[in-house]
Order: sequence, then C-alpha cells, then structure tokens
Amino acid sequence: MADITYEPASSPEDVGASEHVPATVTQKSLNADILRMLERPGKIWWGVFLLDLLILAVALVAERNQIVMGIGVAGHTRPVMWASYVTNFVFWVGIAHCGTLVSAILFLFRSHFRRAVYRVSEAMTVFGVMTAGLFPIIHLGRPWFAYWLFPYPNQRQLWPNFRSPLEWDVFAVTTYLTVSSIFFFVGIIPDAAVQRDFAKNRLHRLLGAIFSFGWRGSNIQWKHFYGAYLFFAAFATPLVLSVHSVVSWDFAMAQNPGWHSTIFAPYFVAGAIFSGVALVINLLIIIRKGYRLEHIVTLDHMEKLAKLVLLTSTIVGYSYLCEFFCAWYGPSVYERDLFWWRFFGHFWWAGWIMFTCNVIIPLVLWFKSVRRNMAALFVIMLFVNVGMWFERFVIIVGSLAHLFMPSNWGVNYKMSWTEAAILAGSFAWFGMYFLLFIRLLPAFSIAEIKETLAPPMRKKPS
Amino acid sequence: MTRALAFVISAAALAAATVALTQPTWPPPYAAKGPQQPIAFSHELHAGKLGMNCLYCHSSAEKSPIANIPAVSTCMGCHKMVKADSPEIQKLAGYFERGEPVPWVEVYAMPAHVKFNHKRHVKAGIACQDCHGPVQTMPVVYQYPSLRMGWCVTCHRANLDNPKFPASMDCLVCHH
Amino acid sequence: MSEPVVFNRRDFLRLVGVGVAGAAAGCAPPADKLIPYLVAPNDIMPGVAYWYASTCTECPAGCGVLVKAREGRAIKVEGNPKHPVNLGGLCARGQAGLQGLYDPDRIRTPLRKEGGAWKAITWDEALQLASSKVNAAATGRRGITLMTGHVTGSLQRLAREWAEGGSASHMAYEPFAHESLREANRRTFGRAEIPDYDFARARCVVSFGADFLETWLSPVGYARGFAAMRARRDGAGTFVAVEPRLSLTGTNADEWVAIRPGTEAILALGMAQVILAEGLAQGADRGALADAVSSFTPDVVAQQTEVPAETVQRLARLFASQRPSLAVAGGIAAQSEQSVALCAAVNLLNHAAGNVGETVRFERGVNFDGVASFADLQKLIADMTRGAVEVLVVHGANPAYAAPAWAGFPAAMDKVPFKISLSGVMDETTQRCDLVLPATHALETIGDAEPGRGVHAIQQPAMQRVPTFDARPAGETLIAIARGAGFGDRFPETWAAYVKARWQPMHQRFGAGRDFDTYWGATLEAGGQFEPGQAAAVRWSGTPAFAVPELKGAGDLALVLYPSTSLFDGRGANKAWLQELPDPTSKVVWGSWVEIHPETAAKLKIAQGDAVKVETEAGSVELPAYLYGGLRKDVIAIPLGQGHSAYGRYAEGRGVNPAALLSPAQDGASGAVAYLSARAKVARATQAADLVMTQREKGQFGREIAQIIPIAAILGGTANGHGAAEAGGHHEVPPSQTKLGKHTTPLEPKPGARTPAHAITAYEPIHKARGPRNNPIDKGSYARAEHRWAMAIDLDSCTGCSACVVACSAENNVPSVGPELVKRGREMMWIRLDRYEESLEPGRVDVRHMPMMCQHCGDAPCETVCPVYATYHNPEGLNAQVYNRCVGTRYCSNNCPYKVRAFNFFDYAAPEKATFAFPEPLNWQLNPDVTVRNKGVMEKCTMCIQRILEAKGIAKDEERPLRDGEFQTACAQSCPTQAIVFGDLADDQSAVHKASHGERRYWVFNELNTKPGVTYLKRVRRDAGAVQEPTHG
Repeated sequence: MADITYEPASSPEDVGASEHVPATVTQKSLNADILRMLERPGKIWWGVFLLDLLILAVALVAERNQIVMGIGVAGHTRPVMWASYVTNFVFWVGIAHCGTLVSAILFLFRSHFRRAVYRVSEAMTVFGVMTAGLFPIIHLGRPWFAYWLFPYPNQRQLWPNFRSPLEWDVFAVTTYLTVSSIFFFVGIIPDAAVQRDFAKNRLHRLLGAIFSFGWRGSNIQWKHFYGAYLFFAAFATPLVLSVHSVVSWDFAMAQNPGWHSTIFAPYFVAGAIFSGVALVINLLIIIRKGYRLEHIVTLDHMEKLAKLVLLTSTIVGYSYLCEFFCAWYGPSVYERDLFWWRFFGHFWWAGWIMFTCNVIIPLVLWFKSVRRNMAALFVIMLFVNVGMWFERFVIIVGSLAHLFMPSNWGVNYKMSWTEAAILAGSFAWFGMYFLLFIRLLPAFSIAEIKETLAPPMRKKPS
Repeated sequence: MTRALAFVISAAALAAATVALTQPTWPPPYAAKGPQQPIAFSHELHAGKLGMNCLYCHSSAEKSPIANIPAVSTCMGCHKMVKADSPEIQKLAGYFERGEPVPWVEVYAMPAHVKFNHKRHVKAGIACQDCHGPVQTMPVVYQYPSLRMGWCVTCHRANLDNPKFPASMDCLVCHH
Repeated sequence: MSEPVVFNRRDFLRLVGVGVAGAAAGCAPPADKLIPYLVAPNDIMPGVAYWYASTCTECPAGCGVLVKAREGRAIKVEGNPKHPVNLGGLCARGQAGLQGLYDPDRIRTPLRKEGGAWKAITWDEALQLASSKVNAAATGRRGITLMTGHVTGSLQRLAREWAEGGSASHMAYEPFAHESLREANRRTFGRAEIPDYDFARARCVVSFGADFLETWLSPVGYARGFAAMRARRDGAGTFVAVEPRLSLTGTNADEWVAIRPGTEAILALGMAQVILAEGLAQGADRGALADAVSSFTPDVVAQQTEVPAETVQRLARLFASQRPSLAVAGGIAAQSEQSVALCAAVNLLNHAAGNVGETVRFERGVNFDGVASFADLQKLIADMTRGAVEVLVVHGANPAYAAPAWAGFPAAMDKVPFKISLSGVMDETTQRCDLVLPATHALETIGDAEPGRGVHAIQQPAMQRVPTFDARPAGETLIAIARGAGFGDRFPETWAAYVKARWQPMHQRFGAGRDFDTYWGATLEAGGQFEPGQAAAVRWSGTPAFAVPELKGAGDLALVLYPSTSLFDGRGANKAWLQELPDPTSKVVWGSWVEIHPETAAKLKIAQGDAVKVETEAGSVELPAYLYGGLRKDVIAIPLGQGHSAYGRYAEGRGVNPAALLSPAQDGASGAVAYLSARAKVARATQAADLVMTQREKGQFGREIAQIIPIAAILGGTANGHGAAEAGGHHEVPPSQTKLGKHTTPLEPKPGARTPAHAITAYEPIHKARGPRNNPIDKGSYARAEHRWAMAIDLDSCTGCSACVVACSAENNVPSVGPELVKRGREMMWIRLDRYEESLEPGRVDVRHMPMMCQHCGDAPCETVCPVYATYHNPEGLNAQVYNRCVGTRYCSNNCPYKVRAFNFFDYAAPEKATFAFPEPLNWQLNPDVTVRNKGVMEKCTMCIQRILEAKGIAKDEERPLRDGEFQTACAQSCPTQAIVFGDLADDQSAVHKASHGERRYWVFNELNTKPGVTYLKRVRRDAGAVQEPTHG
C-alpha cells in the first residue's frame, strides 16, 4: 500500500467547538502523548511515591496502636462520640462523587469537555470510595467485628438492624464501589488496547492486554461498547444522587439539632460534587503541567470545571443560609442555641473556616481571568477541599458537643496524633493508588479525544 | 478448562463453608476424649453402673444458677470406706488430709458474657443429658454440645410458646 | 471478647473449698460459723447470694448494713431497713467501704521498720516484739498510750481494760469530735452528749451551718427524717440554711441566709430575742431567758451579722409558729473559737421555742461518749514531746494527717521511742510507726458497736479474711499483746470470745428464755439488739456568755474549711469510687479546689480553673480555682480530705490539705479546733493545676430539665393538677408527635387489644398512640411480658448526696478511670447527679439536683440507630444493651438526648493492660452476675437487670407473682431519702405507678416523644416565712 501521510485539519476553527484539542494534535501524537506518561518515571515521581508510602506506614502504625489500645487513643469523648474518622468518611465519599458525575451525567448530557477529564475523575472516584470505605471500620470500637454489619447467614440466627442508617451505608457504599469500578473498567477498554499495541515495555503491554479484554476495535465491538457505556452511564447516574443522600441520613435520621434536617440530602450531594470537582481540578493541574499535556487538557476544559465548582459553591452556600434561617425562624430552642454556638462557641474557628473556604473564596471564580489562571485555580481548590473537610467537622463535632443536655456539653474533644496520622494516611492511601494509576494505565481517554480530531485526510496527489 | 475447574472448586468450597458455618451444632461434638483430670474419676462408673443421681454430687444444679463441683468432703463421705485402698482414692484422700481442693480441669467453659442459669433449666424438667450428653457412658467427661449461641437459641426458639415452661428469646436473659 | 477478670473458681475454692474441707479435716483455724441473713445456716453454695447484717464503720454514725456475699466474698453493702439509725439508706462512703476491704494497697504482712525501711516479719516475731516493748514500758510505768479512732461497744471496752491492765492511757481520737456541741449541752442542759434530732417531726428547720445531709453526725438518718418533713403537705416543711457558704445541705433549703462567718450565734440569739419579746416562747423560765438575750435586738443583730432585721423577725416568727421546729448548729459554724457559744445559743433558741423534748431529745443520739477532745490530743502531744510516752499504740486513727499542722503531732510522735500501728493501711500515722500489726477490715471482722444509746449493733464478718492480706482483728492483736506483756489473763483467748462474753448480759436481759447460742444467732441475723429509746428529761441550766470569734490574719477573705462530702475528714481518699465521685457542689473529681465568688475572682483576675495561691499567716497552698456563686463575696472555701502524703495509690499526691493554712486557734471552752479562724489572701499562681469537672455548665439555658412547682399549686391543686396549672407551676409538655395532625393523633386501641407491657408509659396519650411498639403481639416473649419496669424520681426528696452513684458502680462493676480520662469526658458512671443552679442569690436559693440515668425510653432514639441490635427494646420495656454484640459505632450515644451512655474507650477489664481498673484484689468485689465490659463496647444503666431476673426466679420457685417492692435497683435501695422509686408500671397498685401518675410528674425532653420509662416529680418551691395554710385535706 502506498504510504499514506496524514495531515491535520488546517486549524481548530474549522472543527469548531472550544472543548476540542488544538489541531496540532494528530492521532499519532495523541497516542504518543498519552503513552509517554507510562515511560520510566522520573525522580520526582519516585520521591513523591516514597514519601507517600512513608506516610502510609506511619498511619498503619497508628491504626495498629489504636486496635491494641482501644479507640480511646483517638480524641473522642462523651458527648463527642464521632469526630475526625466519620468526618474523613463523609469527606472521601464526597470526593468520590465527582467522577461518576463527570463521566456518567455529563456523558448523558453530551457535554463533550468531559472527554479530556473523565478518566482521571473516574479513577479518583474508585480510589476515593476505597478510601472512604475504610473509615466506618477504623472508627469502630471493635473493628474486628465489622463483618457483623453484613446480613450473612450465621449460626447465631441474628440479623443486622435494617432500620439503622449505618446499615444503609453498608449497602450504599458497596454498591457505589461496584458500579463505579465497572464503569471505570468498561471505559478504559479501547485505550487499554492502544497501550497493549503501542506501549514500550512488557508490563504495560501486559496490563493493556488484561484491561482491553481482547479488544480488536471491530465495528461490532464499538457498537456493543457504546451500548454498554450508555447503559452504565444511565445506571450510575441515580447512584450519584443516592449514595451521598444515604450518607447524609446518617445524620438526618438522628434527632440531634444540627443533624435532624430534611435539607441534608441535596445539601450533601451538592457539597460532594463541589469538593470532588475541586480535587479533580487540582489533580489535572498537576498532571497537565507535569506531563506537558496543556494541549490535551486545555484551559477551556479547566474553565468549565471551575464553573461547575462555582455553581455547586453557591448551592452549598444557600444550604448554609437555609439552615441558619430555619434555626432562627423555627421553634426549637436547641437548634437556635446550637447554630449560634457553631459560629461563636468553642469551635467558632471551624465554623468560620468552613464558611470562608466554601462560600466566600469561590466567589472569585466569577472572574474569567481567575478561572483561566491555573495557579490561582489550584490554590482556590485547595481552600475548597479544606473548607469541605471542615464542613463535615462542624456538622459532626459542632453538633455533638452542644446537644440537648447542658450538663453534658463537652468542649474537650481534641484531635489526637493518631487521628492526624490516620487522616494523613488516608490521603497517602488514595495517593498511592493514583500515582500507580497514572503510571500503569492511560490516564486520559485516547479513544474519546480522538473523536474530536479532524478525520485523517489523504494528501492530494501533487 | 483449569479455570473452569478452579471456579467450580472454589464455588463448592464457599457453599460448603456457608452451610457448615451456619449450623448451630457446628463444630460437631468433640471426639470422645476430655481433658486429663487430676483424679481418674469415672462418670461412667458412678452415674452409669452405680446409677447415682447427678444431683447427689452436683446438688446446687437445682438450687443455684451454678452447678457445684462437689467438695472433697462429699467424695470422702463414701470413700472413707469404699475402695479406700485404691491408688486413685489415695490421691483423693491426700487432698482431703492436706485440706486442698482437687484442681479439677474445667470441661464446660462458658464465656464470661454468658450467664447460664442451671436452676431454671433443671426446674423446667430438662434432663442433664439433654445438654451434657450421655454422661453415664463417659469414662472421661468431654464437652458434648458445641456451646455456641445458635445451639442455645435453637432450643429456646422451639420452646418459645411452650405452655408449661416458655423459653425466652430476650437477649438480656443470658447477656447482662 | 477476651475473658474479663472475674472471680474465678480457683479463688472461690481458695476461700470456700478450703474452708469447708479444712474445717472437716480439722486443720486450719475453723472460722466462726456465719449466720446468713434470712437464710438458714448453710454451707456456702456457689451462685447464691447470702446477706450478713453488720455495722458500717466508715464514720461515727454507725449505720446498720447488710453485706451481700457471693462465693464467699463480700460484693455489695446496703443499708439495713430494720436498723434504727439509717432505716435502709446508706451514703456513698458506706457503699465504698468495700473498696477499703479490697484496697490493693492494704498491708499484707506484719512490718517492722529497720533503718527507715519496712521489713516483713511473722506474726509471732511481731507480737513477741510488741509485747516485750509494752511489758517493759508497763512494768517501768514509763507511759503507754493506746490511741484508737471512734470506737464503741466491745472494742471500746477492750481498749479501756487494756489500758487499765497495762497501766496505759486510752484516747479515742476523732478529727470531728463535736466537743463544742457536747460541751454546750453540758452547760445548758447538764448532759455532755449528743441528742436526737428529730427532723421528721419538725415543721420547720433552721440550720446554723450544720451540713446534716452530708457529714454532720448521722447524715443518712437525718436525710431520711428531712425527707419525711419535706413530704408533709400541711403547710410545714420549710428549711432555712444559715451559712456563709452554700453547702450541699444549703442547696436543699428554701432560703439561704448568707451570714457573716462566725456570727451565727448572734442570729440565733436575735431570733430567740424576738420570740421571747413577742411572747411566742414556751416554757417556765421565759423571763430569765428574755433578760439573757434582751440586748440582741434585730437591729443589733442586723448590724453584726449583716442579716436584715426584717429577716431576723420573719425567721423568728416562722420558727416559733411552726412548732415543733428545730434549730441545729454544726459544720464550719460550730468550729470557730466561739463554737460552744454558738451551740449554746442554738440550744437556747430551741429551748425558747419549746423544741427540747420534742425535736431535740436526749435519747439515743449519736454516741460520742469517751471520744477525746482536741485538748486531750494536745495533752498527749505535750507528753510525747517531753518523752513521757514510751510506747504508742495506734488503731483506726490518723492524727498525723487529720490534726492541723500547728498542733505538731508528727514531730511529737517521732519523739516516742516505740510506736505500734494496728492499721490495715499505710497511712501517714502508720508510716511514722516502728511496728505494724495489720488489722483486718470491719467487713471481715466480728465485733459490735453502740452507735447510739440502746442501739446494740453487731459487726458481723461477711467473709473469711481476704487471704491476700495476713491481718488479724485489732482486738485479737491487743489481747495477744496483753497476754505477751503479762496482763492479758483477764481476757479470753480470742477476740470473738471476748465479744460474745460482752453479750452475756444482753442475753440475760433480752434472751427471753432462749439459750445463748439461739439468742446470739437471732441477734446476728437481725443485726443487733435495739432497745426503744427513753427520752431523758432535761432542764435549762444557765445561759453561757456569747461572743463573736475574731478571724486572724491580714487577708480580706474569710477562709472556710469544710469536710468533703465524699472523703469526709480524708479517710475516704484511698477509695477510687469516692475519688471519682463528682463533688455535689463543684462536680470536681480527684483533687482539691478553692471556691471563690465570681465577683471576687473577677477583681483578682482569676478565671475558672486558674491555679491560685491561697495564703494565710500560717502557710500557703496552690490549687485550682472554682468560681462558685454560692459564697459570700468576702469568703473562700476549701474542702478537707485531700493532700495525703501516704495512704495508698488513690490518695497519694492528690490535691492539698488545707489544714496547713490554720494557725493555732481553738475554742476556749471545749478545746475544739477552730477551722473557722483565719483570713486568707488569694493570688494567681504560676503552676497550672487541673480542675477536672464532670459537669461544666450548671445552668439550664431555659430548657425545662429539672422543673419546680410552687407549693401553692399542690396545696390548692386537685388530683388532676388543674389547680396546679392555674397556680402556674404545672403544665405537661406534650410530645411533638401528638400535635401533628390526623396521622399522629392518638388512636383508640382496638376493642380487646391490650397495650403490650413494653409499650406502657405513664403518659396517657402516648399510651394509646400509634406506632409499631403498640401493636399487640400474640406470640413469643413480647406477648407474654407482664411487666414494664420503670422508675419515678422525686426531685423534692433528692438531696444530691450521690449515694446512688457509688451504689450503682458497686452493683454493676463500673470502673473508675482516673483523672486523666475523666478530664477527657470518659467517666463511666451509669448514673450522674446533674446540678442546676437557677439562683444562688442569698435569700431564695434555687439549686436543683437531678439523678440522670438511662430513661429506658419507650421509643428510644438509641435503638433504631444501632446497626447490629446491640441495643434494643426488651419485652418488659427495658432498653437493653448487649455488650458482646456491640461493635462500638457509638451512634447510640450520639443519638441519646440524655447522654447517659458510657463507652469503654480502653480495656478496663484486662489485667495485662495499663488501663486495668480492678487491681487485685479489687476485682474480688466484682459482681459475678454482671459482665465486666471490654474495650470498645457501650454500656449504660440496665435497671439492675440481674436483680430483676433473680427476683423473677425466686417468684417462680415459690410459684407466685412478683410482689411490688420485693426487690429494688441498687440506686433506689441506697437512696437515704427514698427519692428513687423502682417498680412495675404495668401494675396499677405499684408504688411507681402511683408516683408516676401524681400531679408533680413530668418527663425530661418529653417533646422529643421518647416516652421515657423514668418519670420525674417536680421539686417543690416553698416560701420561707409566709406560712402556707392548707386549703383542703
């Protein structure tokens, strides 16, 4: 066959939409760009990875100590029986939300800017749930009996209590982990095939082979692929809303002031997407810079994500105000005292960190210049995630410390080093998987980005 | 092929485990060998051949939540005369002289968070053998039932509405 | 679940098996046959509890107790309902006696000091040494002193005879010997003794500093009487507290007169003056009295005491009109340099009001006969200093700690060549001795006591000697020494024989034809021989002179030192239960604190918990500040009892001993120590101290948790409480769910359907309300259940004494976790005494004490949220907690509005862990019927399920239904005022049912619709002065 050289479409404009990659990207260069990420890691990656493992090791030591000594090594106290562990749980479940949103919901909405970012966010989702899932076990007084929460046939002839929101969590989280992983594995099939065919070293080719499930790229496969993908997208979409609603009911189903509120489900879902997208932005900024992929994950992509953050930020802010209004307007003296106390009581600083980071700082995203300034965006998103962690902290500790019984109001919760180590460890745990992921599998959807490339044209014979 | 085999095997194992683990009587009664006791006392002889009533020695089983281990003086009640010269009885007498209790080895070990009440069960007309097995045939006593919770519950469930001695399914009855 | 420490079969055999077999074999000293209470004499049967009647020795009151023994070891102490002193109640200190018995720091063998170090020796060597020394001293007449604590009965007699025999002197030392009271009675009534104070008969009580609900004389008995007085509905029952510091007793008053410290006598005389002047007085010698007090006109009094003249007159009229009334003087007020004057003044007041012979009777009051005064101690100190004492024998007294520093007891003691201690624990005095012959604890010793005239009580051992400690009864040791020293022939061989011998005359008088052993057995069973008291007629003999004590020192704050409610004079400090028992006033545990009025503190820039330095001319101490509104602004207060330098792991190095702040001062007439004699300066200190509190907020913040109702509402009210509602005191908050429209309006039950027992509540609408709980079930345990266990707690009777807290810990194996963990909010107590200070203003004071334990809700928030059913609603309405099912999510605690659940943050039950809470042999006290909880599980009040099951078993055996009141929870049983009523709500005739349907009932957080099984009865607010007249009945 005569050699065929492909030339790119003359300019982006004639293809149009801004979420497309620049015309300089060709099918070949795209493969190369993405697969380049898999090449022998540099010092920086190794440095980060080893540091990560170190932190994880410390966390494991802390956890062992906690199991041997008892949960008392954490800062819990009566009345604050839940604290940083449950905070971390909700935080990570929240993080895990954005992935499915971006990949499933935006897919159904046909908003194409997702193509460049969805693989990263899906990976983040899977790893996020894997992290979140640890905390309900870590925070138990007797973690070695955690399996009692599963309804399995046992000789004691006992069932778990299906009325308990914690029991609902068991199902919500496991379901979410299953579905989001499947979604992740389905989406990666064609790209894994590319890796299988073009990757340089054997390991990568092997992994490609495994995850591509014998993909040949035949028409029939493409047909089924898109059918399945659509199906899973539709299947996963309700989960995005359900999971965090269920998590929010851990609190809403209790009768404590500050918890017992019907607004919690939407409020938590919005907050989850808020923090999730923020973390995606952070990760993307690092990757596109680190691997010089600015031309694939373009400023337009980033800006669209930033807009999503701005939107959810306003929803979250609205929920805060709503809660306060209800507390002020409603009949419950307990509720009124509590919400006042949250911002002017012992944990006032937590309350204000939450409000500033989640409502005030994101306001600057109204400016296009900020949305397109990666450095600024990075910092803002860090603030958002700090803020979202503290939101959960305020909801949990900030309520428990100031409930019905004044004689029992307790301000003596202090985060212990064990808790701090395990919090850091959760990031390390998440980071470990993510660092390996970008080294072992295509972190961007080659197949879907190619859809935006100009169709390869044969040169007119001169 | 091998894959299929592996799958079948693991599936079968899983199923077996599930079935076994959910049986209140599992693990099955121990093989008929109990712990080595300081004195070779034979229930087979006393309860079986001689047909002594269990309550003669374990008198508090019907009077108290705890069934007593007879005091050495109880044994010596008969054995001052009976077979006083046999080596085992000599051992027994030795403890008696020294005023030491016989360090019997516990056979039925109940976890500390289970409060079993012998009196109630005896008064409900449950024969000792129903739980302790054919003691009268045991030269050395061994743990007959599994003593697992399901084993208790099965019987309680069966007698939930027993007109004469209704059993309770309330956790607090045994766990407090 | 790892095996928690329980008393295993080996230990049991060690105690019983050996006893039985050994006795049969004839070796090992045969123990005295124990006569179980209400059970035929019997060999001990495992699994069955036996009760032994005995006498509490934790304070001079000498309450009668029943000691519960299981598997041959004492595991619980309760008040003896048949005992005339306490009628069934028992205070926290009495409950904690057990931890004295099993104190891990008890001395294990006789010890001899060699070169400053202790060396274990055998009893023979020890006795040999002791008798030789005593013999030498006795023959050489070189002075022997036998010092005991407050002893009565046989031991007192033995001590006397021993002293005679050994030409020694005996002194019974008691830190609070009430010398002034006795001296005043001698001067005014001619009887140097302590009378009966009949609070039950009084229609009105005025207390001049006497903390009669805490430590004063016989608090348990007084509390019972006080409650009876408060329960009257005929307009009587007013209580006025006159004291510069609002004590726990004071918080139970209707009016607090914050008088200038030391001037109480003047007020008493002023009241008497008004009574006499207005002709309200009784008795013949009115004229003489009137002259005696004529100078104390209301204005003079007002000017001296800072009590308004109007108040003086009002109180006087109240006191005279509500006859018989009762005035008592004691506590800090009766420990000044003019304390005899005060006591005499109060006697005069009682006499003028005609209370003597009515509420003040010289009948069988607390027996302090033969208790030495502080002057006697000083004499001893002088003798010791000048070397006139060769041998000092100490038993049951700890003057080296308790006597104020200025008396210089330790120094003097060191001058004694040979000092023998018969103490069971290494306290400050024992430390200074040369030889220790450890004495057994009262609960393992035969003996007797005479806490009041005609009250011949038995002190019966509930168990054989704890094998861990090679101790002998003090009496036995004294006899042995006497024999060794050659003057013991007069004594029988053993102490037991000596005690029995003393009871021969009793047998003559009360034997009623029975032979001695029968009579002895019967007496042991009953706990003693109680004669009816005969009131001795007394006449007023002379009015002493009155004066106001001058406080020494430069400072501008009067220093008030008061005995701690839980530690008393310090003898409770070695018991973890008492150290961890929150102080009823400050809720502080494991330490000392100084109470400062908030305004004074503000002036000094002192905040809650700041380390401060309290300085007098005698010395200074550093301790944390507790800001307390219940003080005069010119007064600071510090509790006694802490600051031990020895006395075991729980006592050592905790807090400070404020007695160091006293400079020489004592009452001229009686020689009593003047604890109220110093002025102090307070300043910020550098060294930070911990103020470990279990309750920080003492306000209610407008939440009606502890409610009150004006007396008018009750007197004017009708059965359904409408009158109460009109009087503005009584309104039931309906649960929100009953206000929410058709789906939640109460449904009429289907005809024939009965509400299942577990769904019964006292709140009628809820009784019929919808909800799964109320659908009758036709099969299984829930259908069969006949009882709904419930409680009613009368906030008007509750004095806040906290006895229930310790009783609960003792019954339910609740661990003490220590200051570090309590500071982090991890105390384990199942029941807590909440204290709400509505008003601490002088005048009408409003402090509400509220026992708060699991409410056993009909619709419990904790139950729905537990993912594993570790907590659930049982057929009899109990909110059950299954420890071994609990995985420790702690959600139940988060969702409990009452915050009554305690979580095992660490392993308090594992001997190998540092957090182990029951060091051997403390674990012997553990109740075998209650699981010792492990690390990581939640626990809480079970309404003593083990007692419920036991009682049901007994009823089944006897084939009869359960009788109301045949058993009680530990808290209800111990309550001195019977404020807690436990029983079956399903039984219309039960006491708890009646109480729960009275007009004062309410439920905490009822609007949350938790349907509590615990009903509270509102505290009654009375108006001191304005006398309530009953409108009906």
